[in-house]
Amino acid sequence: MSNYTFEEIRNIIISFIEPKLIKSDFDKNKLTDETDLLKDGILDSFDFIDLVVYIEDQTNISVDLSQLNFDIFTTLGGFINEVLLQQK
Amino acid sequence: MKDLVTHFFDNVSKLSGHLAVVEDCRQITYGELGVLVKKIAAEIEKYGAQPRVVIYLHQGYDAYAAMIATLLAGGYYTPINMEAPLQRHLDVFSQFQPNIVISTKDLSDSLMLTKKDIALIDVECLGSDLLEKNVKSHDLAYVIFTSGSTGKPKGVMIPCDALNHYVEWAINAMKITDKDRWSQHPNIAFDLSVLDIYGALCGGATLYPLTSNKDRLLPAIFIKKNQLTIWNSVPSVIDLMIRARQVKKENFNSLRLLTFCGEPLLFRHVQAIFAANKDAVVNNTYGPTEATVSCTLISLNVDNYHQYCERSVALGTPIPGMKIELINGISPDEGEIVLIGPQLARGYWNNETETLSSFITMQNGISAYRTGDWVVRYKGQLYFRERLDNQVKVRGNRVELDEIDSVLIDIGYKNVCTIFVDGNLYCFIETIQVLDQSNLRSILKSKLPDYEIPTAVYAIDSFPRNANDKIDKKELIQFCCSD
Repeated sequence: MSNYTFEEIRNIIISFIEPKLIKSDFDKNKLTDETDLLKDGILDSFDFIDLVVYIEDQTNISVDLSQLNFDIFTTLGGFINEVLLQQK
Repeated sequence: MKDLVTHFFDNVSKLSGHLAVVEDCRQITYGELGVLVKKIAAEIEKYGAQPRVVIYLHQGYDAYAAMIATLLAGGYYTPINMEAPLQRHLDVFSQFQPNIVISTKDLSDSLMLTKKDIALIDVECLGSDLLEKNVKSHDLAYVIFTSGSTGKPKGVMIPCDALNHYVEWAINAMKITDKDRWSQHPNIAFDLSVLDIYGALCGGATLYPLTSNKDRLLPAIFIKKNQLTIWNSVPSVIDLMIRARQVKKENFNSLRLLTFCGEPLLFRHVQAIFAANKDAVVNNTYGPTEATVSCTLISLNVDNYHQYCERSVALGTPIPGMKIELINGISPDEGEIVLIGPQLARGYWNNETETLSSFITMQNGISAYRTGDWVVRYKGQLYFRERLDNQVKVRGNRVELDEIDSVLIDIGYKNVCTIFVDGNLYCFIETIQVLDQSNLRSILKSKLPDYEIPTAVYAIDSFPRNANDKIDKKELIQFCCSD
């Protein structure tokens, strides 16, 4: 079973947050790896936890939230990297 | 009965070196907090007797000090939800018409206070005067603005006597001591925060506000990090912790008491809590803002909780001094809850009509408040069934669906209907035009707090209607479920 790549995780995340972009009125084209999913109002804390559960379901990676680097994990890029770290 | 300001200053004397509030980057002892309160109160007093104060600060000890200072100075306050949009703040300002705003220069910039002749007390720039004496109080303590069905927020006026009654109950019932470390999760504009703030500071406990995104995302880790003994929130936060798989022994073992209010507490919440900590006590409490935070209590432990869970946990029995009656039920074991007792609000701010319709006089001449909550009595306990109106709880936040409708009506749509399905809000607009979703979202976001923004807005040619020509909400709900 091969590991997921950065791009693959990114696509999984985008598929989850796309409907939320409508609710938060965030332009999809403005999404970058620096976009902060919480601070930029795309996800609230409930959505964020749902995202983690969604990624776990889609990839079988078990994400231990208490291990995350809190300074960066709420950004799109930061979150993907944290998930990749936990994949190992 | 001691009033809460006296309780607080007793703790300032007895526990002056003890930590009162611990924030991420700073903390304050009871002694220091007492000085801060007196400094703010001295500033307030300069502006005359019984002032109306807006508290325009983020969650934290400046805000808590501002509240106590206002009461010390004989005034009354309304706290603003700093997470809500500016327009919402301005709506409250225009209704409340404050004399004073307690804030900082930066935070209050967009309010343009000098143009409106409202004084600013800047907590970052206080004088050194201290107000020592408790000035003659106004009979109101605070006004909390909640979602209003007309589109304008509705101000609930809580008298000092009501607040003092509640705080006295809380410190005794929860047996608060200086060993307690208490969470402060609810936003200060929601009256559930009153329990934390006054319960802790009048009980001698240390208060821990959860302010950062990280703490609010993973509250269980915050509980463990600070070894909290008391947790207070709406039940939705336990859902958050359960979904994040954080309700475990290692995170919960310091807690001796968890207390909930604001929405139905469910079996799965309680089951998860006791699985993590079998020695904890879980209090379920019930009550509207109009009866000062809550006025019932049921205490659950690991041995008894199964008996009190139906669709949701029992509401409990009235706290000393408060009474519940049921009206309009076909049998005496069901009906709308009507509340009686010293914790009742005086009414709604500048809204005689709504006040008269909700605050009634019973047949025996006693004043009562109609809650709009329909309940059933089963095996001696009351269980919530449904609301009688269009009010819902979105993650514990009180929302009048009509308020969301009114924003869309204000921009010109004639027929609008917001429904609430499975925790999501959906708006339907009767129109043959294509909706500019982006524009609608901007407008909604500028007027309403986050939790009131609908998940989707649909255009519908014409509303399905029932035999009475009313919008058939059941059909709309089915549409959402099948989507």
